[in-house]
Amino acid sequence: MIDLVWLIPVIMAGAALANGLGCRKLGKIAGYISVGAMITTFVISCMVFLQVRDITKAIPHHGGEHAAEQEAHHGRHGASMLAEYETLGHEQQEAIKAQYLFVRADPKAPKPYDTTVRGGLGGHVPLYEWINIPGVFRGDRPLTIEFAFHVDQLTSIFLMFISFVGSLVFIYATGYMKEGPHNTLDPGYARFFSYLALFAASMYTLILGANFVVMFIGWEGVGLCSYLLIGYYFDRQFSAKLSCADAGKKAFVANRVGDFGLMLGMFLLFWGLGTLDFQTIITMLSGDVSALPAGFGYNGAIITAATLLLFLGATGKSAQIPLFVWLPDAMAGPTPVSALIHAATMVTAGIYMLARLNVLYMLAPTTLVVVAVIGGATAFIAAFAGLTQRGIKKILAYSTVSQLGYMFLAMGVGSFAAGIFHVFTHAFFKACLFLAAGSLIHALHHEEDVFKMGGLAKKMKGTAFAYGFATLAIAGIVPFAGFFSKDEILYNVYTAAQGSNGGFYCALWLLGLLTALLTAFYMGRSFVLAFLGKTRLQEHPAHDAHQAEGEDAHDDHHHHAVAYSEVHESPLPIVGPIVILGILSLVVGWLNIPEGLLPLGDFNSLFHHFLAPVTDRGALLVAAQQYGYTGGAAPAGAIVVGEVLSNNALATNWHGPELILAIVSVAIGLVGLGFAFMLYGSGSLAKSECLARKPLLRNLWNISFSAWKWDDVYDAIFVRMMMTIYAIALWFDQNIVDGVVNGIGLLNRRIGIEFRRLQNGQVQVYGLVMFVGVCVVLLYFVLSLPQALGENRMTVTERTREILGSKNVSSITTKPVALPEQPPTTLAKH
Amino acid sequence: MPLLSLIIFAPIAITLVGAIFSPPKQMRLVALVSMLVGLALTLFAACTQFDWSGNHTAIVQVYGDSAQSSFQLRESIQWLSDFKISYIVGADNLSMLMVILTAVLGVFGVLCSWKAIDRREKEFYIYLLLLQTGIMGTFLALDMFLFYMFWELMLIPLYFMIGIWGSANRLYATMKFVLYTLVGSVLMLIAIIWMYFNNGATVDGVDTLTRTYSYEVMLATQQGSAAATFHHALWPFLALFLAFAIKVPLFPLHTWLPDAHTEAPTAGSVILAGVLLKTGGYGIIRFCLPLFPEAAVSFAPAITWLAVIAIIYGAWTAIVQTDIKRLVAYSSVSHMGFVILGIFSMNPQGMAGAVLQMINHGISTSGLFLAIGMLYERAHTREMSKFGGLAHTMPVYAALMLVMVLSSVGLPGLNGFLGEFTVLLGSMHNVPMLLDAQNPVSFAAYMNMTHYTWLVAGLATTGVIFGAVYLLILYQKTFFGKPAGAHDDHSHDAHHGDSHGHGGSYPDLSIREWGQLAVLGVAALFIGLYPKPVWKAIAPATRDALAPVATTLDKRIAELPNPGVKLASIQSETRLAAK
Repeated sequence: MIDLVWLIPVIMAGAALANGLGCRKLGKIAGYISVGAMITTFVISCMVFLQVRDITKAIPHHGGEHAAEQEAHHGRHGASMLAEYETLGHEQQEAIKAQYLFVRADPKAPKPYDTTVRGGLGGHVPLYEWINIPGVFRGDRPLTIEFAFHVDQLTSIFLMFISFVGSLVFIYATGYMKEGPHNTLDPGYARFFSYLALFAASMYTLILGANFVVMFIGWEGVGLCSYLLIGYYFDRQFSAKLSCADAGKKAFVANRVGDFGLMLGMFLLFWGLGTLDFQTIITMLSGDVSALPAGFGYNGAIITAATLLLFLGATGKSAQIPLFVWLPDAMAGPTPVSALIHAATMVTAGIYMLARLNVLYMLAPTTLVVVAVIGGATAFIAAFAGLTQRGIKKILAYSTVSQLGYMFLAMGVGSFAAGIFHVFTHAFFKACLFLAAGSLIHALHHEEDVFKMGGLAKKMKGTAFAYGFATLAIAGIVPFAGFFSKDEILYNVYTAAQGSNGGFYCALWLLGLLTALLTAFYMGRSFVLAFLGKTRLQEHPAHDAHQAEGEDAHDDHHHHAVAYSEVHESPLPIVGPIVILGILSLVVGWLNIPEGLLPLGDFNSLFHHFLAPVTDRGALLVAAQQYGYTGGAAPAGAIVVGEVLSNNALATNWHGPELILAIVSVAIGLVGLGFAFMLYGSGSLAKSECLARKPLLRNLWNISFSAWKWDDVYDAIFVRMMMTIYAIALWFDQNIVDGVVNGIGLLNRRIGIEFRRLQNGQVQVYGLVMFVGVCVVLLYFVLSLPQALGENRMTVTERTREILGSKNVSSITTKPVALPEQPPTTLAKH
Repeated sequence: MPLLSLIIFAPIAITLVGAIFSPPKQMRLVALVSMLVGLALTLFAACTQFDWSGNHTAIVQVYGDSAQSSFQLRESIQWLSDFKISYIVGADNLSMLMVILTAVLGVFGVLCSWKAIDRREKEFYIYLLLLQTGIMGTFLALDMFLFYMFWELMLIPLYFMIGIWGSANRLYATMKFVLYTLVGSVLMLIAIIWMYFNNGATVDGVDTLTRTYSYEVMLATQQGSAAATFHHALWPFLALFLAFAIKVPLFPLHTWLPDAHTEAPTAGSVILAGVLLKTGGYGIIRFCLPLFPEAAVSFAPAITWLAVIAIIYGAWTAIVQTDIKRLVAYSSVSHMGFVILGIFSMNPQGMAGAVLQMINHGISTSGLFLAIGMLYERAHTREMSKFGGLAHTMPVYAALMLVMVLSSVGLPGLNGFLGEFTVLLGSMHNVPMLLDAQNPVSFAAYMNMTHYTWLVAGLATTGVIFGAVYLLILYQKTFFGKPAGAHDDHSHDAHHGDSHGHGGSYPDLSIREWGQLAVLGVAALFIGLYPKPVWKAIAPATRDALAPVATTLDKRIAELPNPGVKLASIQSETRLAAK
């Protein structure tokens, strides 16, 4: 099945094309085409996943199982090796262990660790040669880029959750993209599903790409679809300042700034390593250290620069500081889009890339510090902005930015699997939250303000149940999914704080805990405000409904106040996916229960074990290099000893205060939720308004509500400054560059007029002019003569040649120039 | 069969004969047939008669001088023997690619004029075909004098096309266009005459000269010896380069372009952007680099900076335009900057990218001009503020325009990306600049910037951001939002009596119209996803353009104070490539 993985993006692209060409004629069928295609890709993804899992299983976790095989292979008994090992010093023991660990994670490792799939742990699926520029000069570096896909554990996980969440969102969208009382299809129904399918195709290409450039097709493709879908209601206004189309443009341009970094990072890697293929790069970097070009070793200058530039790309796509500003405005798109693209899948692309390149990032510790700081800071800043927002989608948008920050924080402390696990759980609970929010918005006819909701749990039980589950998950309450993933991240940061620079990581850890508190509060707040307490909607339909209709026609937003009694649960295509995702928000976390919390034997850290061959490579390489690994295979002895010694060595060793830390973070989550209940539980806003009047809190409220005025600052610095620069450039073009051109034109005319006067027919004047000319020419030659005869000992011929900029005066004169009296300028007339 | 001569002259001949017999209204049909004949001949030549492997060589004789030539389908006639001027045409991969582009866009040039040209049709189409002849000849001529004649021939028809069928400010624009490019032509003529007199090599202090206008002979002479006479010629290189740079156009010689584009009829803009600008890039690759490698290497850093400025500056000025055509014209300055940047990176990535970028620009920018022309026929205005919400009323148009815009933005998966990507990739390893950085008296050494090609690549890559900005502005203002005029009172329409209210009421594209855009869109997608045939065709062109420069670069590297170390730093990849 791995060989047929290209079917996945192709099917989605086909669906996109069919919907795009069929357009309005298709009607409802457009939705079925996309949903059908998406479910098909889910099935294929499952098959790919199962195959990858089988292969991963074939890799031994425990040395004992393969003892016989090893004996045959190495011809020595493991026990005697072990005895030898025991006699070694600690340093040497560690060195052997590290080398073993690394080699085992190496896809090119010798048997018995080699597997049947091509390329070791993953499948390389080349389709055709895409870019091929052969070298010309002997120093040239040929550029060959295959259009190729690559399947490994990381890819298969992404395939699974993208296709699964995607299918649910697609089904949801068939219910959501209907308008009005008669459930008429949205006028752009086919266009919408065409974009969605194109998005899925691009997203699949992104994660399947075997090299940077194929990944970049998907990377920009999802950006394009995001642009098109944010601007889906292209004739509407999103906020006072932005139209939906503006919001789309903002997203695209912010992403392009990131892509600028991504491209430069690629260029650096190419000129350093001569390839853009992920596996080749990783193999090269984990190979012979002495063969690497300068700047590519541990903490090397070029690898640091390249990883930083690539990270800029990640901040664009995954909405981190400094480029996160587009994501809150991306909520201008329809809600299914927000759920799928701007929460579950596309925005995790940056994290995917970092995990994919974990070897590079682990070799660049400076970059990792930057990643950790940016991640932690974004998590906090966005969570703080989420505290006071009123639009439910706005709250969720800031929450997404904040959660993505957590993921980068995990990457920054080198625990890539933990980051990916949070991507995974987040995809379920955040999609659930967005879809539930969409269900609310749909039921309330485009009302997004949580202050105008309340008490909806009674009316919309399914939605409320799912939203509640997902809230508990994101707040990190045991045993919901978010608890396990977030706790693992915080635990890893805490572990990092035990090493060097402990204070720095400790601060990050505290920031993470504080963010967890804020997260629990704002999510609790949104849940309480929307679903609990006394409703703030009108109890019964107002009599002036027709007036509302009039307004509706005016602002084209189709939203008139819905009365509480009119609210009813959304139809099945909407509620079904929400409930499924709600249940999954509970259970998916159980895939990665750390041993320190609950010893379950083989069931502990399943997710991490599965990903380890991909995501732990960097950490293992760095550890191995610390102990003297310089490339090549580990000695046979090391393999045997390591095999015997290592029990679950690839998994993070959960130990120490794991349980205490877990209790702390759950307590913090409960405090946050409790505070939200206290403040808003009654359904009245009086308490919070009372709080907000206090001077200090008032200021904090302002900072939060305006999202740190980030947009305004960017507006002032970048947008306005750039507009001034553009205007100056235009002025320069029209007046200076073109001014010179027009000036020369005018000057010529002027000169023509002046010269006409000279043509007066007086021979004396002509003679005078000629005399002056000859004098000037002679003077020039006399002046240049000393130089020509000076230290260079140039002949006049050579000098003349030099003046004329060539070596062939003789060609002009047909005989060598010997005398200075013959001015060459006159010769040129021949 | 003199295939290339037929490609050059058959279309205009058919048109001239047709013009005698056909009524004015049917002239467009005659022109279409002529263009299609040209296209058919071109495709016949390209697909069946032409060897794309780039391995073709033959010994040719021009007025008694023999030379090794890689040109195919050669036709050679002695013409003005007294001056050793002959009619020689021939094609290699580079010219064949350009000829195909020209032939295809020629058809679109007629199709987009189908309804737009409603007066003096005969003249118009004769000029259009004459222009086509000039361009084809320029790409195929192998005699410098013949090249110059075709080069001048391109000028005249466009002068009339803009001057007669252009819009309001056409006289200023056409005057500026002609005078500006004429300055370049004069420089070129001087350079060509200089080349005629100075072609040769200095052996043991004696100049052996071969006076010739034949490009093949010149190339053979100049490449045959390290002491070739052109090697130290800076001024002829500059004169030739300026002529081509004006055509490209390279900053700061670009101001004729926005005026010419804005005022030209659609067909003029399409041909101008699609092929005419390419003659500049073609000339640089064909003549400047192989004949004057020393000068090219010496001037490369300065030219590279101009290219970087062109990319950014063209984009900046495009962003603030209000006239759609002007915006696209400035975007051409930016996009053609990539071509120059790629050429003067002097590595395969840059060069191949530059050639591909020329083709891509021909596809996407012509597509944009075609599309804008369709809109102009409906609205009779090019002001973006007069449009809006067209995505509602013209969905097909919106979709096809989107493809063109994205191709121009450089979205991966479409053609534009590949050219930009490879050029930018190449620019990070701009070999002349790396050499320059080793030169103790250079600016780079003064600034202690050993990695200043990174700066070049970094600055040029910002063009990718600004490119997205202006093209999205263009798309948003015309297609998104509410139909313009929906809120306007009708006093506004008084100015444009013939436009029946703005926005909303335009009919969507006809088959003739969307067919044109669809063909270009499919081409964009095809090159974007399966560019293998194109790369194959480009590779020999890259090799031929870079081989002479490579020798020079090699020599320069050897001349460095500490060649071993410097070589390693300039070509740090050698070691890895050897593995």
